[in-house]
Amino acid sequence: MDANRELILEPSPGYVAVNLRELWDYRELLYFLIWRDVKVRYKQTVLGAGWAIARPVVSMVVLTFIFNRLAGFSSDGVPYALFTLCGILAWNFFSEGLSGASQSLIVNTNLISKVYFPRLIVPAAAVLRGLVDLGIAFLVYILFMIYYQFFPGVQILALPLALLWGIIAALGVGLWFSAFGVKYRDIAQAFPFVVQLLFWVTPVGYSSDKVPAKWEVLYWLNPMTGVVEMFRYSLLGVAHLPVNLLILSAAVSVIAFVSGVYNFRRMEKEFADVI
Amino acid sequence: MTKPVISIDNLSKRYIIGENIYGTGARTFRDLFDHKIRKLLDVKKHVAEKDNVIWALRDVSFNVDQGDVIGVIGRNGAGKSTLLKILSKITEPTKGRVTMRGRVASLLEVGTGFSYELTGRENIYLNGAILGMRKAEIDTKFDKIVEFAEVAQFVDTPVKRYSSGMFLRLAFSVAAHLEPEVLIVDEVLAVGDVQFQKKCMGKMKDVSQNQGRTVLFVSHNIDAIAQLCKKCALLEKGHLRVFGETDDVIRAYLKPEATQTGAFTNTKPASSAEKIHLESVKVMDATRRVTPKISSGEAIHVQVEYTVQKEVEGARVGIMLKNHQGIILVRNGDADVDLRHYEKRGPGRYVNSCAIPTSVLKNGDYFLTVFSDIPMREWLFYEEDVLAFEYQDFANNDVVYHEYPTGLMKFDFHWDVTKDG
Repeated sequence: MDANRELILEPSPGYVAVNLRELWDYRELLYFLIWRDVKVRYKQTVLGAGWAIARPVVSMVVLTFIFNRLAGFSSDGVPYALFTLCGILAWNFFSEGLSGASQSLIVNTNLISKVYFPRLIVPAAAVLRGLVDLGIAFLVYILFMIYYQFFPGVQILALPLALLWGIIAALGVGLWFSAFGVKYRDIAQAFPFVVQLLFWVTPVGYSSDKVPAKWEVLYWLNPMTGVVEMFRYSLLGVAHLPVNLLILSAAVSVIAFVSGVYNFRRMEKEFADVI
Repeated sequence: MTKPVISIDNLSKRYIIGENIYGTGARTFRDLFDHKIRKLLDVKKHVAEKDNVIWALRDVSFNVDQGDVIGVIGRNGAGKSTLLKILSKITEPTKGRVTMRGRVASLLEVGTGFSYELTGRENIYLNGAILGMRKAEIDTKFDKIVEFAEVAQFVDTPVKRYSSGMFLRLAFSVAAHLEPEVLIVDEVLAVGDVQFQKKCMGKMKDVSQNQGRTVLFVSHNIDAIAQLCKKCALLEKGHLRVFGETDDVIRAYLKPEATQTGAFTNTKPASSAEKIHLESVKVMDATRRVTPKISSGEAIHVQVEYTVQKEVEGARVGIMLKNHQGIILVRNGDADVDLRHYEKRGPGRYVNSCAIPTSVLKNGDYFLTVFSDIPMREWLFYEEDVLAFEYQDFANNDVVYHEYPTGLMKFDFHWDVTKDG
C-alpha cells in the first residue's frame, strides 16, 4: 500500500508466484477474520466454549470404548483415554480446519466479489481459527493428564513442530478443496464422505503399529498419520514413528501444501467471475 | 507534466455464458463430463461456443488525472460494473492493461463483510480491515466514524439490533473515512433515505472537491453525476462511446442517435409472443408537423401507434417524460386517467394521442419513453428514451432574464398582489 507504488493490472500467466509482501501487508485482515469467526461462533451458540470441550470428551469416551474395551487394543502403558484424546485433539484440529477451509470461499462470497485482498487469507483464517478450539480442548487434556498422573517428558518440545505440520496438512488439502469448490459445487457433497474415510485411515482411536506391514506405505501416505503420531510422541512420549514413513508422510503434506498454494493462485483469478 | 493517476489501455474483458464450459463456469462435475463427451461426439455444437462469448468491455481506453472526478455512466449491461471490478482488482482483464499510481480504495458496496452478530465497534474494526485500513488508523479515526454515523449510544450493541438506517450510516461512515489517493465508488448513494443520501453526497463532494482526491464514480443517478463530476465516460455495450465534459456526455447518454427525428418506427418485427406490438411514436408541434424541435404553441402532441395481437384486458398504454438530466418528470397512461381503458382491447391497430401542455415545460431537451403494461402483472412493451425533443420558447422567462433555472418544471401560478393597509 505504498503511496508511490505503480500498480499494473493486466492478464496474468497461468501460474503466479505468491506475493509474500502483500500477504504481510494484509496480516491484520487475517487476524480480524479469525477474530470474527471465533467471536461469532461463540456468541451464537448457547454452550459457547462448551462445545470445544464437549466434542473431544464425548469422542474420547466412544473411541476408547470401541477400541480398548471391544477390540481389546492396548497402548503401551499409557492410559487409553489419554491416548485417544491426544489423537482426537490432532484430528479435530485437522478435520475442522480442512472443512472450514473448503467452505471458506463460498461462505465469504460477498467479500470475494466486492473487495480485493489476497484470497489465500480466507482459507488460512479458516484453518488458523482452529487453534482457538484446540487451545480450549487442550485445557481439558491437561485435566485428564492430572487425573491420570501422566505427564509429558522432554518430548513436549516437539509439539510446535507437530502443530505446524497439522496446519500445513490441513491448509494444503483445504486449498485444493476450496479452489475447486468454487467451481464445482459437488465438492460440498463429496466432502463429508472424504473426511469420514480419512478418519478411519488415521490412527485416532488406535496406534498405527496395528497396521499390517504390507499396507504401511499406503497408510502413511495420509499426511494426518504423521501429524497424529507426532502429537502422541510429544504429549505421551510413546508413539509408533518409523523415520522413513514419517518422512514420507511429511513429504506428502509439504507437496499437498505447495501444490495447493500454486493451484489456488492459478484458480483465484476466476473466483469473482464464477462464485 | 505529471503522469495520469489511472491509465486505462485497450481494456477488454470476455465472459463466456450460457453453456457451462470447463474453465469458465462448470457448476458440477456432470457439466464438465457432459462437455467433454459432447466435444468428442459433436463437433458442430462445440463450435457454437462462439455465440456464448460476451465482451463486457472492448478496447476501452482513457486516462484519469490527479484530482479528477470522473463519472462513469451507461445503461445496464454497458460494462460499468466490469470496469469497476477490474479497477478494484477483483477480476482480471482478458486483454489490455491498467496502470494506477497511488493508494487506491474501491467501494463497490457499503458494509461488505459486516457481521450481524458483532457490535458496531467490532464491525468498524472488521470492515475497516476489509477495506484495507490498519488497526492503528482505525483507532485514530474511530470517534469520527461513530460521530458521522450518529450511532454513539449504540456502538456496543450488536448490529442486528440496528435499524436499517443506522446500519447504512455506520457502513458508509467507515468507508467515508478511508483516505486513499484514488477512490472508486459504485452506486453507494442509491441506498438509504433522502437525509442519508444528502449526507453521502455532501461527503462525496467534500472528498472530491475540498480534499482534491481523484474519484471514479459510477452511478445510474445522472443527477448525482452532474453534481459531482467534471468529466464523464459513457459506456455502451462494452465500448467507450464518449469521454469528455459531463454535460456533453450526459447529453450523448440521453440522446442516442435514433432519437433525433421526431418520429420512431419500430424495426423489430412483431413476434407472436407479444400481446401488443409497438409500431411507431411521433412528436408533433401545434400544427401537427412531426419535428424534434418545438418552439411555440400550447401543446406538444404525442402519438403512439400499436397493434393488439391478442385480446388483452386490464392493459394501459402510456408515456414517461424525462428531462435532460434523466429525471422522470411524469408518467401517465391512458387508463390512469379513465378506468374504462382497462376494458378489453380486441386485436387491431390502435393510436393513442395526447398533448403535453407546454405551459409547464422549461426550455430544454426532453426524452420520451413509451410503455404498455398490465399494472402489477406484466410489461407488454417498454421502449426507453425512444424520442427526444427540444422545447424552446423564446418568450420564456428563462431566456429573457438569463437566470439559472431552478426547479424541474415551470408553473405560472395565478398571483394576487394586494397592499394590506
